[in-house]
Amino acid sequence: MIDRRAFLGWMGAAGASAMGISVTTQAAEAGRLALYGPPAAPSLVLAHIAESGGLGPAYGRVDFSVYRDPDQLRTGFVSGRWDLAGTPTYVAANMANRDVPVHLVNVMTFGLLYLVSRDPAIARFDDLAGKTVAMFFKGDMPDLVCQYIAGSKGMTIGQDLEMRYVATPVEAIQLLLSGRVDHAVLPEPAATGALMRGLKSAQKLHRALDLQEVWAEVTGGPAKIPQAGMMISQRLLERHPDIAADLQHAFDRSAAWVNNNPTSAGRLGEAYMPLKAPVIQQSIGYSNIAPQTAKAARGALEDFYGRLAELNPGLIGGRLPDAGFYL
Amino acid sequence: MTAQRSRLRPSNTGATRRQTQCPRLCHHRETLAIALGAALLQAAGGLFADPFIPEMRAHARPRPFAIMPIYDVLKPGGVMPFNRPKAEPEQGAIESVTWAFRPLKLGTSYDAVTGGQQTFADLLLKQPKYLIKAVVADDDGADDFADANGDDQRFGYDRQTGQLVLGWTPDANRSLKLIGISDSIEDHKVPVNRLVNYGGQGGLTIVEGFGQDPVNTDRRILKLTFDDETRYGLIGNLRFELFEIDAERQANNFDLRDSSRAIWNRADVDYNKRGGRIAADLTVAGQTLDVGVGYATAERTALRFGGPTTGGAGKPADLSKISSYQFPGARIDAWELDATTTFELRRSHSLTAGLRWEHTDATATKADLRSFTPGAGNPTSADLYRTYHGAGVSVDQTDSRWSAKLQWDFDPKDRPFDAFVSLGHFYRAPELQERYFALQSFFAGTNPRADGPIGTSLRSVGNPAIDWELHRRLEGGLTYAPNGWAGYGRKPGAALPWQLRFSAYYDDVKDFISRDRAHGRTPTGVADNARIWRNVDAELMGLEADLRINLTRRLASRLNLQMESGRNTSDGRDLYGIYPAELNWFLDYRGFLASGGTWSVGSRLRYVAQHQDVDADPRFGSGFDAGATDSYTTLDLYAAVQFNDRVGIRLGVKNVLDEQYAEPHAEDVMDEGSPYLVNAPGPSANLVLVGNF
Repeated sequence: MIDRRAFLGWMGAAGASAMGISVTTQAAEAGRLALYGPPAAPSLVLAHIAESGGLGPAYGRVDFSVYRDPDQLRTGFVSGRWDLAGTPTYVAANMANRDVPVHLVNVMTFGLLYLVSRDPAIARFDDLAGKTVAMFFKGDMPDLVCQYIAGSKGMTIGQDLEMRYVATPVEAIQLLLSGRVDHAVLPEPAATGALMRGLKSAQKLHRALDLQEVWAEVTGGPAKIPQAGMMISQRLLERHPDIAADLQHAFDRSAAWVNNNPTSAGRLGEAYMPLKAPVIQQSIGYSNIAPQTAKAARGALEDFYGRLAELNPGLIGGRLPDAGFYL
Repeated sequence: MTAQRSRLRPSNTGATRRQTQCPRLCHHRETLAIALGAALLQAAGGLFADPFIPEMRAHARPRPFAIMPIYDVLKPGGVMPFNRPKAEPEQGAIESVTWAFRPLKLGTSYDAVTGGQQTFADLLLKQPKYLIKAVVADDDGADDFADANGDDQRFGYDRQTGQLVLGWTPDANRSLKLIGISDSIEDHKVPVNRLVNYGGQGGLTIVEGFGQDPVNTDRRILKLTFDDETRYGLIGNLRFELFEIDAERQANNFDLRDSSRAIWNRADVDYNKRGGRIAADLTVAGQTLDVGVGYATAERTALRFGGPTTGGAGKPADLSKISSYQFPGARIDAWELDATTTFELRRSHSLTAGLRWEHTDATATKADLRSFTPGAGNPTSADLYRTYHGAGVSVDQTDSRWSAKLQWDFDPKDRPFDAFVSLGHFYRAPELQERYFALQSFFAGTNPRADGPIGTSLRSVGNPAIDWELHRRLEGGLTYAPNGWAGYGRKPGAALPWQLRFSAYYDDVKDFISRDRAHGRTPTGVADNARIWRNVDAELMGLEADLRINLTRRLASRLNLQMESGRNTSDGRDLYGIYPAELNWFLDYRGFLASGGTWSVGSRLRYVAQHQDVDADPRFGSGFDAGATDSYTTLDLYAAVQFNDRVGIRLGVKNVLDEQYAEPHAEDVMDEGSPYLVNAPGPSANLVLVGNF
């Protein structure tokens, strides 16, 4: 059995972290700003900000680290040792609603979820009727998204569609490559990793469904799932009142660089993440890296939170965050 | 040797232990020790590269242009034999263009000092079950170049090279590949021969430099590989390979040279090698044994035509008559059996043992054919062999040898450190050239006058009965890379990441196959200065240290030191073909364009120590070293920029300090028994453009 940590040490893991895994340790110091992020393509933006000096001299030395332990993000913020980290947006809402003094700076990515299949005939979610799909992290966000989609389409999990739950995306990939399942829901960059491993092992896998598109289909909204963003501590915000604007400016610039230079970004990311440069490079185009301030994305976020809460209110801490949560 | 010619991977990342085991100073190694550079099988890529027991090649043997990589953005304008640093810089910013995971790459490069331009295309189409890779390169326009004094040095060639790979992967365990390579070099101009006197009046005057230009060289490789990782009972990882190499060359001394000369000649060379190998993992009592069997047959025929002019200079000799069977139908059939196994010892320690049995049958089918050699009658190649190696020497030679190697590895996965030590006792079979080369001289005099005809010093005579080289070799190496080393130029954290790679070897060689001149040390005791091959004992040793430090997120530096020494202990003299100590210091800075790309600048300071321990005097030794050289220091500068990982430009200037120097040993040149020093280019600008689609 591969646990989450092992999974993160493998190539596919990143997307999972983007959805609920977190953090390291490092105290905020004067003249130094520490950024943290999951091992996924959106973190390339953080790495570029750190390496290019994108925040300017006012913040001193900016360091970026990838977190790998699922418990460290919460621990870091709760203990006050962390101030700024990329995180699944629902985790930020959950912490804010549990009185951890944090805010959401922005949304970094609008969706990383895909259905990878060995069946080229799968073109719509409805085509999965009667099929078995590998799904990781039962009851967590990706599962809930799929449950919501299925419900909206009048399909019942367990009847119209079988879910084979596994602990991590890595296990889902293993099931897929071994032929024990024909379809798997995977986050980026695990989806890209699965396709590349298929290519190496003479197996034709398909990126059959963009779940963001399916989400749009069932919600009537845009093809965007506001999946991950930057969470900031109240303490850092008080120390640097302009940081939200500065961060968003840096994010815009660095996101453009990452999207324009996927090979360079892949090599940049390889130094920070337990992922190979080609996987990172190939995943960038499917990672929907398009930073938007949390305030601007509030509507989309509240819509997303509301739909998740329909299935599991506890995921966001029982209610929508206050207005002050969105910077 | 195993690398794809396109240099698209950095040298600083993904360093494997095998790379550590074979540092650059192992330049005399080669898996297939065959002439004509011949398109080493690994050049085409394959399943059997880098055998555990190294297959040595002839020491310091000059080789023609390497076939792989097909193109190289770090060698703008194509091949430059007279500027050959031991360490190369990074590509810089353009590496993200050349590395990009895209199907088509196009590029061109230009070197202002030679006028050489290289244009290439690299296509890769990969589907789960199929692979097509096609690479073509065209080198055009390289011509004479100016050294630091502004003097022209003779040089030039045109070249077209192509590679096609077709792959089929029916399932996850099996793959089949067909690889074809074609290489055509035309109008290759090499340093012209000249008379050089050693010892003044009463001394020795010999011809140094190339007697002919290789005006046309065609090389072709065809290779079929099959790999099956399915386990069949005790057998797994089955590998199978078939190959054929063909090479043809026409050389002469009149197409590209001044026609007013006393001797006209030409040569036609044909070379063919074909064979196969099968290997598999055999599991016995829980221990996996990698066993293989291989067979290859190689044939080489080279005919030389012509001679001194008849009826006055400028009138060609009869170029239709064979003046030498230079390679008289030389043929070698070789069988090989080998087995390697690794014992996992306590944590992180392992011991690998290998055995190899080799058997060769060698002959020269045309050794008794008589040539028409002006001034020397109608000698045969066998006559030459007998002159130096005795009346009883036979061209038919059958030998078998066992080789062995033991290696300890320490590779803790949780620490940034690994190390190895190996002890080898392995043989090298003589190459066709060493056994059968037979170049007649037109006149029998032993010491030609400066204005006179060529004498026996121009003869080259192989040794059919020469013994195999025995290497008793100790090697060791280590890599240490603390503080989160993530590759050259990468500093993700606050700590100072650095990497040290070190390797060294000592090789006690019995029956080292040495080039020499006939100074009375052959069985017949002839002392006529002819170029010969004979067995001696020798000692070689060397080391390479490579230190890389990422000083800041933007600034990185690298120091590479290589040293070696060699001694012919039988004759008590320095061994030819040894490189002086060389230090390369790189300083590289990289930056980001706002949202559109990256840029980089860098420098290389190269120091080469003086080289006085040479075997350059043909009166006493082989004279195969071109000469002693003083120390020199050169500075190269380079800068690169890329836009959106799609288009890149790299600019460079070599020898910025206008240093006048000559490399101790030119590389990528034809074999010439008496080379001379050729000055390196003076300051020279170069440009590389590359894009992907």
